[in-house]
Amino acid sequence: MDRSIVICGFPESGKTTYLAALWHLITARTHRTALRFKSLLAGDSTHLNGLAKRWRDGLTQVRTDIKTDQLVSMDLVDAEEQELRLTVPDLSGESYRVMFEDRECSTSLASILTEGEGLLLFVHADRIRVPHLVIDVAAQSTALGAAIPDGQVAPWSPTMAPTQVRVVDLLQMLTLHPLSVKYRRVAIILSAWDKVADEGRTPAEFLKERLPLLEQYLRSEADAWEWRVYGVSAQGADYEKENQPLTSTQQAKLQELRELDEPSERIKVIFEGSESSDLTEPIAWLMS
Amino acid sequence: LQCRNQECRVSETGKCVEGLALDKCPHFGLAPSTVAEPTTSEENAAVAVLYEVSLEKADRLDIQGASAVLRAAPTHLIAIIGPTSSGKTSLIASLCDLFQQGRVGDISFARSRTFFAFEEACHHSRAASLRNVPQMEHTTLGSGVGFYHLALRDGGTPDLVNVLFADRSGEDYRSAADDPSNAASFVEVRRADCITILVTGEGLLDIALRHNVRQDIVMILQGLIDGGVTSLTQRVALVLTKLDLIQRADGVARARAERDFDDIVARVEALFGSLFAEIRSFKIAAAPATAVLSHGYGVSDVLHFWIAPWSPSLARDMRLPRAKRAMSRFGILEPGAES
Repeated sequence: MDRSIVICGFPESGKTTYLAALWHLITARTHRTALRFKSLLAGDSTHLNGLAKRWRDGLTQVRTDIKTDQLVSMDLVDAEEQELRLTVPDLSGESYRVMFEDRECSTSLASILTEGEGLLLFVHADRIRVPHLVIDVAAQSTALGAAIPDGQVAPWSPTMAPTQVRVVDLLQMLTLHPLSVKYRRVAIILSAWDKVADEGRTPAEFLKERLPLLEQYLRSEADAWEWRVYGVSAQGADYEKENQPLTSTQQAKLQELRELDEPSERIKVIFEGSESSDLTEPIAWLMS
Repeated sequence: LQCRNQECRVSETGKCVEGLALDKCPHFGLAPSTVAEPTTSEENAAVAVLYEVSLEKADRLDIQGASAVLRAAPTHLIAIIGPTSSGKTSLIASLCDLFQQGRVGDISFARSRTFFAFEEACHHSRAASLRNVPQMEHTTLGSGVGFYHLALRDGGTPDLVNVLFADRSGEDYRSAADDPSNAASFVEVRRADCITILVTGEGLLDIALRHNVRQDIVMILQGLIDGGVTSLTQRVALVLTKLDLIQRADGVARARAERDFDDIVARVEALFGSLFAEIRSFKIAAAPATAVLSHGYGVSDVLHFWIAPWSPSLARDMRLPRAKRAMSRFGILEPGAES
């Protein structure tokens, strides 16, 4: 049976890293997962293998280019032993940025968005843009002896919009003409969860405190979304990036990960207080 | 802290988005660039081909857009009226800011069709504007009416509450005081469930301006009434804005400004009380320029008033409207009401 979901998120929100870790997890077959690997017959796995290799090496994924968007397929088996071919787009976050800021998209993206059965929506938990008030920043600057100079004014642009406004608007846009998607399940993936795990909040508490507009929107049922929120750490630490050396602390943390005998141990999925490595669980829920 | 790269959040995080040391980043310290990178004609052509599906806009709604919202679901329409610099944009912007911090009392955010408009309204009180004091852009004369949209969920009610906030230049509204026939084009006032009149606290503090501030309110309302765009079912909110400036003023000026506002409320009640369903007063500091009051102070009370369930049968001293305005009031009188 052919099934498909949509992976959505603004640039560098963790979409490709999730796919890389997912492909490793299901092909390694070392951990129990809701969806299991069946075969390589779904099609060319070059892209997925390349992503998973970088992930195992501890290298940051190359930013997905808007011109090289990929559709990847996986032959899987679900808990009822039903075989399915899952198709997932590996789309550039730039596509979603254009959707929000320029209010337009390509016909191919519109087609992918409308044909999915559910939505994995990524928000980088450690890169949430929150607006700061002039009055607060001015007070801080003055206290530091560096008052903000007079006469500067930057015009408004959509690039300045806070993270939660962008995400809510994107969800609204999916429900409106011309997209008018039929699915109404969304799994909010709070990526890089390891960066905020020390704050001691569950993903649901994090959503309410750090993204309250999004939480209100989902809870209001204004657009009838059925939703879950997951904290996902698909890397476990900062990975190496070209031309950007890691600090010694970051290097030590990465070394710890590399020393794990099984790379799938790097993965942490938090949902309602339970922890696992099962990156297929949100996908299985979307398709259930 | 600022950076020419608009993607960089160095002002918030203290870190370069490119991961560079701040003294090594060629963009750090420069004003954000608003000029697009030059592209070749081939690149432009490729982009034009790439994005061929137009999506819903998120700017202020025009009259057609507002009509679509009104037709789709029961909607509260709030006309926000005040002279230039009375704080209209601040009040509208503060709504968006407050919901981004959480619920407002028992009211929660449900949806908005005008995020760009709200965000733009918020911009000049935010650090990203690079201003050193919050300042609002004014709606310009003759730019017509625009609408901001919010759908809200009120704790106790099962249905969503749609709200449209009408925004028009203060000078446009003031023109009704010069010639009431100018009010004929104020469709948002005619349809409004609540007419919200802003009284600027800054103006009341100014010894030279205070008398005109008080008289402007009375004359604008008189112009709207004589222009035939108000009705007995409408409620009126008289809102004292920029309360933070009054709070930090010296005792004499502060007492005088507060007394002036009380006087405005009393005069409006006395002159026009019988022409509206209800008149209520509020005091707010939507975007305080000082730390005396919190951001959005008092706005919650106004919001609750705006979206409170309202039935014309609750109107006090209900009277039949004058015949020339009957078309704008059809169907509002309850059986048995005075005729």
